[in-house]
Amino acid sequence: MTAVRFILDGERIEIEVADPTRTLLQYLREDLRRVGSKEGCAEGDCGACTVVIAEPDGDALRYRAVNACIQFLPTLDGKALFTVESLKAADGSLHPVQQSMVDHHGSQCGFCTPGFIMSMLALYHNNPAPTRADIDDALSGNLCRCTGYRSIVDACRHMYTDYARVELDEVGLMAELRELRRDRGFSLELEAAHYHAPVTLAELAELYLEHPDAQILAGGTDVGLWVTKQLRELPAVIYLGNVAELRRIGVGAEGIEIGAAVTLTDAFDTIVPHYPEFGEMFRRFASLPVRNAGTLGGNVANGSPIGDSMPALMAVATRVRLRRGDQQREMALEDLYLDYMKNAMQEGEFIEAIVIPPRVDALLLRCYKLCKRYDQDISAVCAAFALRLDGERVSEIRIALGGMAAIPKRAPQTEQSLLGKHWDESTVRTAMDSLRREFTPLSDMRASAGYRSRATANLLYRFYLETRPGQALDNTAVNVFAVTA
Amino acid sequence: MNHISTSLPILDGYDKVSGRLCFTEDMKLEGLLHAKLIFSSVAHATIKHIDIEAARAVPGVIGIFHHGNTPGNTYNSTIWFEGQEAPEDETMFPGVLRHIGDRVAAVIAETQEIADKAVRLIEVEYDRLPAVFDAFAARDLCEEMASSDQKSIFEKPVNETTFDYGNTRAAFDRADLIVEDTVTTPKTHHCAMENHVCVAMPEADGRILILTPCQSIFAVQFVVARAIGVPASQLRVVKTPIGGSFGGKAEPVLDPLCAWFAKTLERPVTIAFSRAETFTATRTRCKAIGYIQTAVNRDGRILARDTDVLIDVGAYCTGGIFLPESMAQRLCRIYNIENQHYRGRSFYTNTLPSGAYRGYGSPQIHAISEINLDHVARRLGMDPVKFRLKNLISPNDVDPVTGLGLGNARIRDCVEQGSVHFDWGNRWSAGSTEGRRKRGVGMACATHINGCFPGFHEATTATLRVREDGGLDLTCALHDLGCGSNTVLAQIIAEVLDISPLSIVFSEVDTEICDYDLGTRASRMTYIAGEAVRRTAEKLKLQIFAMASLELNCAATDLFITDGRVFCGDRRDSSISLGELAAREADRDRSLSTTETYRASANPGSYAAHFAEVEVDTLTGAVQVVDYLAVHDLGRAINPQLVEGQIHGGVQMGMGFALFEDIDIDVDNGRVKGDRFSRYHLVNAPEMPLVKVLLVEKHEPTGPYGAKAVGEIATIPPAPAIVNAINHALDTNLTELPVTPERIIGALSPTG
Repeated sequence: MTAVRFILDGERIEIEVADPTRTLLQYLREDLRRVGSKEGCAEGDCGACTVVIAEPDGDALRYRAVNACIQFLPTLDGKALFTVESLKAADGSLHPVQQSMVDHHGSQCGFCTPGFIMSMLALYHNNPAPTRADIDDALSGNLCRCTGYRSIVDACRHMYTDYARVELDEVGLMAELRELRRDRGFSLELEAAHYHAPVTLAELAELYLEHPDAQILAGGTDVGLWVTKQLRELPAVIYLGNVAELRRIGVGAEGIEIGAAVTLTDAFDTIVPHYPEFGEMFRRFASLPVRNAGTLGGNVANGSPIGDSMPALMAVATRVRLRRGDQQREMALEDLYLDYMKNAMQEGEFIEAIVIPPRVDALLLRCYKLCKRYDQDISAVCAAFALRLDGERVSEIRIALGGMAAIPKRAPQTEQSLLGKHWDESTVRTAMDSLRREFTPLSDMRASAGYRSRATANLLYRFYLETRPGQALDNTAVNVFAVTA
Repeated sequence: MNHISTSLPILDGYDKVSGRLCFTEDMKLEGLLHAKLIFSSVAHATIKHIDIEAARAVPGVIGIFHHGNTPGNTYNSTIWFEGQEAPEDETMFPGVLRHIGDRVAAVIAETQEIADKAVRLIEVEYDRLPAVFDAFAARDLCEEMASSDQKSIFEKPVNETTFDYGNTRAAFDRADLIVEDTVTTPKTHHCAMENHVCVAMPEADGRILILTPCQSIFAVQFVVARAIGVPASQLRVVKTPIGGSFGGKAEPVLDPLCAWFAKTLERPVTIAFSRAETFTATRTRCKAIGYIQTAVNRDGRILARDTDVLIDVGAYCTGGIFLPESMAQRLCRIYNIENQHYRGRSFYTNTLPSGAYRGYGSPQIHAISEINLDHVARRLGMDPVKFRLKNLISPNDVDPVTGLGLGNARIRDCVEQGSVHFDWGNRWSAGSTEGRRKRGVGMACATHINGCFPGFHEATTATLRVREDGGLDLTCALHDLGCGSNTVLAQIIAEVLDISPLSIVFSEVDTEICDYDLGTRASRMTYIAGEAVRRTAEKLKLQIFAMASLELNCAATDLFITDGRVFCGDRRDSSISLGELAAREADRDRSLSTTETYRASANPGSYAAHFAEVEVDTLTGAVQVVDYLAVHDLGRAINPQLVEGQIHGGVQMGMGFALFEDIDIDVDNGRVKGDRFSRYHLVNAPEMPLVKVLLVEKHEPTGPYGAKAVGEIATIPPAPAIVNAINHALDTNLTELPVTPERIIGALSPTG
């Protein structure tokens, strides 16, 4: 049997795993009795279980805060793990992150504290001089009900300045991690389930053909929940995270190519310079630990009707490259989705890459996300609009919506009706009616059907106000009182 | 002596940041069994049939409990002591299920995984009964049933409280203006980061030991005894570290079951709720719908007020019987209104039960009254601060409900200082700007109590003993809920005896060793327990001096303590340490210790005024709180940073109450829609404004070193202050909480 190998507190751990869907948090709390990491929700929403994972990123070490509650244990293979118990010095003295939390009253009941400490540790090592926004982002995946966060933010500021800096032996750790690197994939063929972690695309393609009923696992931010919340049993899992080709990002004349195992954090960082209009939505998309673990490929493959990346990507004519065995094919992203949680992929077929075309000239683009809480809330509606004008006439328009149908969806009728039209108030008013007719959204706890319909139409109007020829409004000047529809 | 007004870090900070603090779920216990509950999937039903055979056959399943094989003793989980009365309508496993999430059965197994799997094999058939999901429907049902013979407990109001003083009708007749509003507040959840959890185990002598993160070990003991039908003496309860409570763990929800399982199976058993179970099968803040009318003179003097509140307590009474009255009490301790009428009625609905929650009715009644007061000011064309200042009470005014003095009530100072600090006048009159994002300012006042006096036997007993190492042992049922109350109490004792607060060892909170205490509730820790330990320390000091005067041959009046040593006047060479004194007492087979009971005889008000500035995105309805000032009259801040932490946390909770939080009962079937953090939104770090805190420290004579409570009140004014700011920004009159983007957009474009 193959052992899962990783580094914990500088020491190499080799363990035989009985159930590959056992979570990292279960392993820590039950097997190792390292009970500092807490379970607050078991679905990656509260951050009480946050741990730090380090892996090589080129020549440097990269630290990522992730939710241990939804990470499957074998995905740790080849990485270094830090938990709250890793921090204290041998003489019992606290790490600056911890001491700063004590001194600034950042811990009250203490239940969320270990998770905060670990998010802060990743920040401490990744960013030597964070701004308030960086601190907010680093803490965005951790909920606290006692402190109102202020004392924790203060602790973050002071952990750099008030205490002697503590560095890790990164050179040594890199050397250890290099030794763990695998040239070939590994498989755990266990009674409870099979787990495969290929390292090349060819291996993966072959494996998936052999085991088409296996569950593909990338970041685990959705699949993890199926196991922890829905108690689903996964007889076989194929993990993409170690496949070198799928971890690649390519930027060239052909556009941006994002491998299916690239994390949301890295994908967004790559896309935003080309499409800055997506910046705000990406910042509000999930918490940092979820973006650190979750992948763009996973978001797209899952195809949730309320996922935010699909409307944005559809608006800029993104294609997906699928692979089955040694066969490749590409299709427009919108064609991937057939019906609620059903897609066009065949048995044994998987997403290899997401291909975003180069930005076209004179593209007018916006992406709007509406939700209850501004940051990291699941959208009631997410709408992306991309427009090109020929003079003042619509030569090309793409409207893509989330939260409005059983799948993320374009609005072909409305788009068609706009082609060639003069981009003016009356055209847009007509198109708003068309949009309302074209979609029949659901009412749920995030929003009513009526609100979704109206908001979507109004977002089109807002897009118009921000793009109308000659008198486009700055987005801060758009006034709702002008919208009377 | 310099331990008061210093920001000592919490005593167990090291344990918390190192991950060493052992919460209930972190304990390793030999032979521990795990429970998994099955909950009603329908809102109101009897159980027609329950099939447990398949679950029983699963290897590792040790026991299955349900209505058919458990005691049907009724109890009320909010009762704290013998003799306190409230309707007893709860049972461990009820025969009639009253809400989705009500308990149907439990599987106990060797591991959690086995229990989780086995519970899915249980099949339940229901006979459905008609159900009501809101207070209006419940009220109508009650009125309908009033003339019928059928009088089940479920079909009459839980309680009704009215009070009347002055002549409200007559005052309404002569008013220049009457402004009425209906304000609705949602059912919200505590969201302590630690879910509900409990452990129970048989002890060698046959008694049951309950280890539980709770707010009162004696309440747990009482309720469990009642529920499982054993004398309290058969139960020993020990409080474990608690990962937040906010009232959510004030009522023993799991403890009766856990104790029964352990007693029956003669093994240690744990029940550990998941997040969804904590959301759907514990307690909430009750929903309140307040119809309020305020009558004023043109010059802004309030002549009269009439308030009618419908309270939805959910499926079980719990504290619902006390809510109408406690809301009344909070309503009448802040403005001088000569004519008031109030009626509060609480009703059952087929939704999850409400219970204690930080502020106990106060956030709701203040939302109702303070949103209405801003509406009045708007109609009068008057600055809401000036309007309030015309009507606020003054120090030593009297509470018209209880007839007791309000103490050194400094709400006026809060409003006056706060409005200067916030530059209120200019910001309010500037009005909102043109354009997409509109800004507005709002403020709200609030009051809260200090302890339970005169309602219950409000007393705390503490024992202090000097150890031979010079430190102190404190024995008292002090339930630190994570707010740092033990740190504050240590500072108070340290101040009296001039020792290091770190040398004080707090006893376990254990029914075996502690005297009876109401526990941590009703904002009583600093004010009541603080005064109790202060008096105990003072008494111990007299005892120390009596002994030291013999040992040092010095008049007791010349003695003083510095840094753990007793000195005689200015004879620096003549001193004895507290530890040596204790050792000499030990040689005489005595201990240097004292016990003192403090009974409260006052209940002053704590006060606060909060000021908020919001920016509302009129296009999306999103609200950002951009500036915030919290001003608190708390007598004296024993530990200023802990006080600030309480206030910041209170604002986080109150802001959620204003903008996001709602467990959101599905009106079609009674299901809780907000049952996870992705659907029930807490304010997170990026949403949180930079909250400024201003403390009014004017000394409350009855409090320890002049201190009053701050923990609960901090969460009361944020919601009305923020809603008032939104209404100021948009010139709307939004009164339904939470004020979500959808509601804001609805109010801005009523044409729909």
